[in-house]
Order: sequence, then C-alpha cells, then structure tokens
Amino acid sequence: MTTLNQSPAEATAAQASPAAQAVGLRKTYGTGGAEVTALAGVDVAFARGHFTAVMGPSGSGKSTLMHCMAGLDRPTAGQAFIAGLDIGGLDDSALTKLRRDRVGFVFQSFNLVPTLTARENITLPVDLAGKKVDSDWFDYLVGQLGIAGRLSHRPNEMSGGQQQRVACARALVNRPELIFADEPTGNLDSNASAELLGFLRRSVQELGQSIVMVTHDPGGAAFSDRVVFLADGQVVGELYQPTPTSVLDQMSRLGAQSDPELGA
Amino acid sequence: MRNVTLKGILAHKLRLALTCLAIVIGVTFVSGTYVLTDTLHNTFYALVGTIFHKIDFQVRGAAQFPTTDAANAVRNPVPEALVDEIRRVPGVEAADGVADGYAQFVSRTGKPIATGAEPTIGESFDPDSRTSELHIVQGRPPTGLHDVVMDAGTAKSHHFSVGEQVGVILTGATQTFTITGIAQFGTADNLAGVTFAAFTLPEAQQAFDEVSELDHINVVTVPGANRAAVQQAIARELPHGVEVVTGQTVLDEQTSSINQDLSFFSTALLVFAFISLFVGGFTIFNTFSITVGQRTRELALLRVVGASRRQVFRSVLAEAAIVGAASSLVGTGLGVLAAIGLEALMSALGYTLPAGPIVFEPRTVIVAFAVGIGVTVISAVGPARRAVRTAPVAAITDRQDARDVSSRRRLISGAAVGLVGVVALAAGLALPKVGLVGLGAACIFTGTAILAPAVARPLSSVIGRPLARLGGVPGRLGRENSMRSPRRTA
Repeated sequence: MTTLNQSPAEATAAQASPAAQAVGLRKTYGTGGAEVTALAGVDVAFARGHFTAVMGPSGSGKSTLMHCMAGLDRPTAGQAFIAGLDIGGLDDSALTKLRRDRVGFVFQSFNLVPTLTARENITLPVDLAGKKVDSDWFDYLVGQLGIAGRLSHRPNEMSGGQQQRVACARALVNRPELIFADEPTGNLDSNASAELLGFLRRSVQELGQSIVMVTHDPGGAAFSDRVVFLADGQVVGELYQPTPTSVLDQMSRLGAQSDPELGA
Repeated sequence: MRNVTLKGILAHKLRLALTCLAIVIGVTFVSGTYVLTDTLHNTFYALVGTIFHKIDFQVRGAAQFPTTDAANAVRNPVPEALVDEIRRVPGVEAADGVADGYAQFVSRTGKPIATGAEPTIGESFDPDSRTSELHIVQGRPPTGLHDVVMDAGTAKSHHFSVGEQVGVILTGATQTFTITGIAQFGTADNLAGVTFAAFTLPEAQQAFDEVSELDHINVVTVPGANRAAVQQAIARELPHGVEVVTGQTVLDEQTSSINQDLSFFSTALLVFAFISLFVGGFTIFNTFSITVGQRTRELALLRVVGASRRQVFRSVLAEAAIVGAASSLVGTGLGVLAAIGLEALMSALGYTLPAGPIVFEPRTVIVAFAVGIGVTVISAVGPARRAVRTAPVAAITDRQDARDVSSRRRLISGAAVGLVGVVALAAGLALPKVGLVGLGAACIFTGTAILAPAVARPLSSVIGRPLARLGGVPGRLGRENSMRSPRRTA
C-alpha cells in the first residue's frame, strides 16, 4: 500500500507535479462483443492553480475520465495521479482518505445529505475524519458563498443555487489539492450559474485552488483558463483563455470532423 | 457519521415504528414470560412457605415408585398409632396426623366446582394451630358427622356461608354436609384455584378409605431442641416403609413441582417469543435491505466525501442497534404490563393467587435487551455488508455493481435449509418435541426467504406472460421489472 505521508523529496516533487494527471488512461465496460470503450487511452495533465474545463459530446467519456482521475472508479489500464501520487496503487481505505482530505467534489445534482443541515453537510468531510473544523476558514467560505444565513436549513429548504453553494463549501472545507466539478451548473438557472462559476473563478485566482470542471456549456467553460475537448474517449483538442465564442467555434469544428471519421 | 445515522432514523419515524413492531412483540413475550413466571414462582413459593413453615418434620409413607416429582408421589399410608409414639419422642412438641384425598364441592346449581384442571382436595381438619396450615376465618372447626370447612375462595366465588348445606362428591355418591366454617391458607383464599374441603379426622379416614391410617404426620419440635437428634429419634420409632423428612424437604419438593409446571408454561411462552423474534429479524433484514437499496445514492455520497467502509458499516449497524434498543425498551415495558394483565386474567378465571409484588429481575431486562438488540443487529449485518459494497461512483451514476448471490447458489442453499426444516418439523411433531418444531418452522421460513428471489424470476415470467398479452405495456413492464430485479418480491 502506498501511504499518503510523503517524504520532503516527494513533497517537493508533488509541488512541481500537476494537480492531476492521466497517463494512457483506458476504461472499458462489459466484455467480448458487448465491450464499450469509454476511455481509449487518455493523456492529460491539469495544472496546479488552474481552472480547467473538460468538454465533449455525450458519451465522449468526460465523466468517466473524471471518475477515474478522482479515485471514484478504477481504470482498466493506465495511471492516474493526484499531486504526483499514483492513485492506482491505493487500496480502498487510502482512496477514501484521499477523497476525504485531498479532493473536493461538486456534482450536478448537488448531492447533499437530505437529513443534515447546511452546516452539517459542509463539515461532513471534517467530521468523518474526526477532526475539528477550522472555524475561520469555515466562516470565510460561507461568507464568500453568501450562505451564512442558511446554515441551519436542510437541503430541501434551499434553492438549487444555495444547495450548490453549500456543496462548494463542502468541497473546499478540507482545503483540497483539487476540486472535481461534474456539470456543477447543469441544474441551475443562468443567474445562479454565473454566481457559482464566479465563485469558482475567484477561488482559483485568490486562493490558488486547482479545479477540473466537466461541462457542456460553452458559457461556463469560458470561466476557465483552459478547455480540454474529449471525443470518443480521447483528447481531441484544447483551448487556452477561452471565450464562449472560441469554445463554440472549436466545438463546431470538432463536431464536423467527429462522427464519420472518429466514430468507428 | 453518528449525526447522519441519528438524523436518518428520525427522518423516518413511521418506517422505524413498523420495523420495530415485530421486535417489540418478541421482546414483549420474552420479558412478559420472565416477569409472569418469576412473579408466579415467587408467590407460589411464598404460599407454600406459609403452609409449611410451621412444620419441622413430616412423617410419611415412602414413595411406592421412584419418581422425580416427590410432591405428587403415590405413598404408603402411615399407621395412626404412630402419632402417639412420635408425641412421646423427647423434643417433640406436637404431632398431628392428616388424612387427605379427593373431595369436590357441588354448586347450588348441582355442578361440580373446579377451577380448570386444578385439584379438588379433601383433608382432615387439624385443630392444632401449632401444626395446621389452615385457619378458620369464619365459623368453627368441624366436630361431627357431615360437618365440613370450606376454603374461602370457593365460598366467595359460589356464595356459600356458614350454616348452609353443601353437596360434596367423595368416592361414590354425592353427600350433603353442613358448612361449619370457612378457612384460609395463610392470607390466601385458596391455593391458586385448588378447592379445599376439611372434615373431622374420622370422617376423612372413612371417606378416603384409610380407617386407622394417615397420609402424613406433621411434627413440631420444642423451641431450642436439637433437630437432627429429634429426627433420628423419630426415625427409630418408624416401621419399614415410613420415612421422616424435614419441613424444608417438603417445601423444596412442592416448590420443584411448581417449577416443573411453570417451566412448561414458560417454555410455551418462550417458543412464541422465539417465533416472534424470528419474524422480527426477518422484517429487520428486509427493511434494512430495502432502505440500504433506497439509500444507495446517499451511502455512495458519504463514500465520495470520505466515509470509510467501516464508517458506513457501523452506521447501518448503529441504526439497527438503536432500533433494537428502542424496541427492547418498549417491549420490556409492554411485557411487564402483559404479565400484570395475564395475572389479573387468571384471577378473574378463578385461579385466585395470593397477593404478591410483581417480580422484575435484572435478568429480565438483560435478556430482553440482549435478545432485542442482538436479533436486530445480527439481522442488519447482511444489509450493512451490502451497504459497504456501494461503489462511490453510484452517487453520480445509476450504475450499480450487481453482486447478487447467484440464483443457483440460492436454489441449492434455500432448498437445503428448507429440507432440514421439513425434516425437523416432521420429527418434532412426531416425537413430539416443541424445540424441534420451532427449529423446523424457522428453517422452512429461512429456506423460503432464500428461495424467494430465485423462484421469483421464472415464476414472474410465467405469471407475467398472460398478463403481458392482456395488459399490454404496463403488464409487460411490470413483468420485466420483477424479472430484472427479483429481490423485489422478497
């Protein structure tokens, strides 16, 4: 088993390494004739302190890529690294600790525990670790997210935007190396989307947070530093300093060459 | 994690209550059985104690046959002449002979009086208060022919009073007696429903065909006498086939006889408790299986944000333990109430019991909680293990790792357990042995539970075929649904 405690040398290496990296990552479902390839050998690195968007049509493997890189799912082949650590070598309890302490998640459907209040949902990763909540950090987060007045509410007493902001606070509460966001604005109206994306943008700029966000919204992708395009389980392009227009352009170009040639 | 567990339970109060029900009933049986039998044992023991506490020794015929129930043994008669000899033994203060047998009162409407299957006893009245277990509360002792003293229980329930005539069935025809007095045993109106008719000694000897003979002689020693020496001295006077035992021995024999009766009673009740707890365990297993299934997303989410497998496992078991503890608490309380109710019911039916406090032993609480929590937690282990296998990725996708026990393994193990059950049940009924019947029923139950999902697929396919033809799309969907996920029928 690989431990999470790193030597100083490893720590330095980790500083130098990307926040997350995939090397030849493959993922197939089923066997024989029913085999479906979700990831066909992906090589990609997500830089530290950057906001990276992953885009691609449905079935392009972008969610699978995120799951495999975040330790939620096991790849069929290849390696996934988080801060230089090969997560393929981790057993279940080490992976659990990795998710708890070093990675944050934001999902499309908020995924809050319905029976817990906003405060309890936010501190859940800390509580699960049996640690004490850093109250300054907690207050800073809920202040920045504008949910200080909602802390005693249950998820079903909050709007979608509020719920997603609670989920953001939960993702950030353990000061993770990296946040994975899977279509975080998919269930939000445009105002709430803009607010949330603005917060994510600020956390990258002001706190140096690393974020990987799966999205199919060009407007959302324009908040990022870099967009990685996926199709048929492979990286097919990338774009730095995107704007909604440049993202759309790239998408239509990829869409034009996609189906007939790459679909085989 | 504790927070998640507690809030989860409180969010589903109705489900909680329903899940608890069977466990509550089971624990009620356990605690009720213990409270009732402890209470009965205690009151009977006190009762027997008040009857025999005066007697230091009893001289009686040896048992004619070896027996484990010394209190109800058939014994040789004791010659009446022995009484005077025993009275002359140094250290003996009083010795009085008793003849007893069958005597049944007849009610005003001409029906024999009896409480259930309780004995109806006739006995010679011992006027000596130093040895007698009876004391007159109204009227006077019997002095002449056709005088009888009636137990206060019968007098009360059938409204007889001193001076009235009453029919008594002895061996042979019904005879008419005059009630000269009404008597109690210590403070009890009767011996838990046993009716009691006391005659003069000569009349009793006549009636029970024991002329010049006695059933036993009760002996009281002078205060400060060396009892062992007195017992030896008495023993020297006795002819062959007659024995002298201490009052304590008689008391122990009576108590153990009562315990044998009660233990049959408590075994029967505990079998009910067992069945109920088995059903309860089954309900818990099903409820937790379903809730774990429904909570897949939530459990997976907990795994995503960093709950370890152990934390998820403990959370499910903790929920079970809380459910079990709550059920045990309610069940124990209900058990006490049930015991009080049953006792009142017995009194109403005429099994007059001496007043005694409800006995609530620590053992009752310990066993009730151990059984209630134990059954619940053990039943939840399976669902908890399934909860642990929830893949974190299930929080975001609908994909679930289907790792059901294969249908073939299910069929084989289910059939095997069921078969064992049928054999045990048949053997239990044939012998007959209550324990085996219970085991058999439990095995059949378990076997059916294991088999149900495996059988459901082909069965629902067969039943569903005509439905699909008749019902169109909804019918077909339903059929496919239960075929795809056969556990739903469980």
